[in-house]
Amino acid sequence: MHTRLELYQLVAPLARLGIWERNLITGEIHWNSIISQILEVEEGFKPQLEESLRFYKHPERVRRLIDEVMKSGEPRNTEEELLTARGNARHVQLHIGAYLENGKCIKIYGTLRDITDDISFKRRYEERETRFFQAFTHAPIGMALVSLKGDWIRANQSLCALMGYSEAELMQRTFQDLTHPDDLESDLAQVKELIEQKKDWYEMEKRYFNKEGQMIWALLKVSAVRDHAGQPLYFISQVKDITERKKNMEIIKNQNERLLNFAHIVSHNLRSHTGNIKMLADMVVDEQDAAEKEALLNMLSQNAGNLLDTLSHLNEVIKINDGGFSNRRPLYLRKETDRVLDILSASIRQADAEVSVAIDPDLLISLNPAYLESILVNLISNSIRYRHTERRLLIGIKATLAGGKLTLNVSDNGSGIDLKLHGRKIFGMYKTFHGNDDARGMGLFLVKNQVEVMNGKIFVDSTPGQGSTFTVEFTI
Amino acid sequence: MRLDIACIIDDDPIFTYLLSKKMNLLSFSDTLLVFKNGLEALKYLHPILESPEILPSVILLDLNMPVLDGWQFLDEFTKFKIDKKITVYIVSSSIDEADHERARSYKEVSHFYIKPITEKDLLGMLADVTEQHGK
Repeated sequence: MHTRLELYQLVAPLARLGIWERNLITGEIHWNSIISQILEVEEGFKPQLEESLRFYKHPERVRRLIDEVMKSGEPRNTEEELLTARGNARHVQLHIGAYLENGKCIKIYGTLRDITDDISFKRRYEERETRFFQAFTHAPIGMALVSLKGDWIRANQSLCALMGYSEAELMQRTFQDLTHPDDLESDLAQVKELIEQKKDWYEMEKRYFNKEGQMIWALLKVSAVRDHAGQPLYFISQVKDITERKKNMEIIKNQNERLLNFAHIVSHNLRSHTGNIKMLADMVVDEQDAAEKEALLNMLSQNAGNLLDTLSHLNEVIKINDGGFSNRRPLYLRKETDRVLDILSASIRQADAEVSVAIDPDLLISLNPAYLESILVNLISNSIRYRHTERRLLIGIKATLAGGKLTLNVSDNGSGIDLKLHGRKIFGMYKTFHGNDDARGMGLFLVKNQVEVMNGKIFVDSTPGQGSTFTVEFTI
Repeated sequence: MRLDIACIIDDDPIFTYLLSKKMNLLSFSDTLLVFKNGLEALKYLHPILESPEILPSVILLDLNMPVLDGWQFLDEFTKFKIDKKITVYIVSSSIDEADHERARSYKEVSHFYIKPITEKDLLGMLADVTEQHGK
């Protein structure tokens, strides 16, 4: 017993462990030096039990615990706050044991350890964790903890709102399930780099599909949380909805393109007429021959007329870009198509063309009626005008509705267009391709403007000698 | 100093009329060929590539034309192996810097003239071509 105490006295200071013992029979008290240090009292200060309990913030609680131990003989421990002799607050861990003889407690003993640093570390840690989860839960952007395999571990409210799923529904899916197939490969490649520790984080713009199947553009930032060995445990994903921004950027990009195109048209088409007028005017002045002078003057007049035509064409374009959106109303596409075919019936009959229409009569779409008519008239008349001379013209008009998108096709078996040569110019102003003198190069240019101003897109697919298909797409 | 054969490729009939009239007044060349687009010009030039004596020594090329435009003409023309120095001028109303930039990328294009073309421009071409051919 004695040597053991000596050993304790040697080892206890190393472990910063306070050791105490009270003999309830002899009143003998043993406190090692660590206890004195923890309580900041003189070494040798050995107060009675009641007095020593006064250091504690809740002496009655400690007292109760000691009583229990004394009665049962079962050791107990507790974490307590105390105030040192110098008035410093400390957290301690108190272990209490009792030595019973014939059911009567004759000795209590135990340890006291200063855990102030541990506690403040734990508090800081807890506070940080709370802070993170508060930020996580209430973040205005979508946030999620994602497993290495892609399962959602936790998702915050914003992410659930963005994706349209409840957190529970989301947990049953992986991020792969919600990702647009075209963006999956690049996303997974970067996840792989995170796992392989080639990167700490990555950022990408990508597309998701929400519960309703609508496409969402998001800015995604993913970082890996790693263990002490650097092995990734899970990912923290931040998902910012940039759908609106993307949409606006697309609109701005289109507008800029149209503006640039328009500036180009103005620059080229107006300049070519005014250049001619300038040359003509100079030459009229210098011309001696009366007949020739007359001819030049006629040309001057003709050129001024061309200039006016161009100006009115430009005006048409401005009008389209100005007011396309406001004049939309719900239209039955089938009915409108039939009406246009009726307007064009004379030329269709003359060309002996066979027209087949595959449009659901109930298909309703909100468009500007004048523009829809112009689009159909132009595309169908083009099919008639550029039909193949050696076979009967077949025109197919088809509309399909899928994924919130209306696709309208006008296809023919006509002479086609060499898209390698003309692909870039086909929807340009005053661009003609077949060498027909009656072509004025305005039709497809106006159609493109009309389609785009209603937020649509137009494409062409064509094989020379076989035919063309014009495709118009509108988002519903 | 009069050139043998000159060639205009331009779809604007008024402009080609006025330009040829001016060129004739200046005795620009013995012969003047006029094509209304790049394809017509290529169709004419292609079979006679082996006969330098009937090839033009200067081409005045417009850019915006139907069927085959000036750029497309140049892309075909620059593939030709020709045994005669043919000076190519772009004559266009384009003031778009992108067009001028693109024209500079063709070493076959000697200069970019912006319409309208003046007598001074034509005399400049004449002096230029004569000098080039003298070398």
